Amino acid sequence: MVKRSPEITIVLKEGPIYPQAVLNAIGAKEHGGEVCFFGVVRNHNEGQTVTQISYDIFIPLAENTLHAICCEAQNTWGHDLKICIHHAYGDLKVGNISVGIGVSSVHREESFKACRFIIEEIKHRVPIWKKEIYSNGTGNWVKGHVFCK
Amino acid sequence: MKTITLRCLGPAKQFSPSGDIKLEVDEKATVGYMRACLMAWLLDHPLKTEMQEILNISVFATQHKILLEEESIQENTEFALIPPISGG
Repeated sequence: MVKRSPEITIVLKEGPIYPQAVLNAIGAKEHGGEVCFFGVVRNHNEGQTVTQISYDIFIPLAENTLHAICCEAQNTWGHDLKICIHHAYGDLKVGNISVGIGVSSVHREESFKACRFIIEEIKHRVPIWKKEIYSNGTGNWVKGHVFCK
Repeated sequence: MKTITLRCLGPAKQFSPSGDIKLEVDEKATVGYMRACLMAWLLDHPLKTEMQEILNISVFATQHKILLEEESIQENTEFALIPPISGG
């Protein structure tokens, strides 16, 4: 777990994410808004029936990049934002939560915007890969975003 | 010459069953040189074509950052091959 600032919590863990753990890490007496996003393993993709997804993470760089993303969110929407990100690795079944993002702030608008920003940045910048396993037993690494050389 | 260890992640795990590749590189090697060494290493790989396609759209990284091709390789650093990402 990375906790370099009391306002930012980052957890990369094996197995599914639990919403209450994300909720427990955000909120403050001064905060009137809490927003959470949970990414869930769905049972289909591009015409295939998905039974499970296996996640791989380059943990040290992922932690550093997630922390940088949180700092960027705080620089934009306020240094008092509390942010919590949990991301799973290993094998997850349909219905399991793979990523949980929680943000709390004085007013709701900052939390909504920061939460949306964080999930979009995760998709483009954090070294995480997912391999879908299909009902026929085959599997495929999901085509993702290429870093510029 | 120095030996560096390259960690293979995501779809690049097919490069090596152990997940790591050891490469001999020049003392003053750059990231671009490391890419060329890996490309040469792949010439004898049974999945050569598929692996070269992955390498062409991958970048190299340390625990701290994505590396530029012209950067020098520092000794005692863990390197990783980063194929296109798909998290979340």
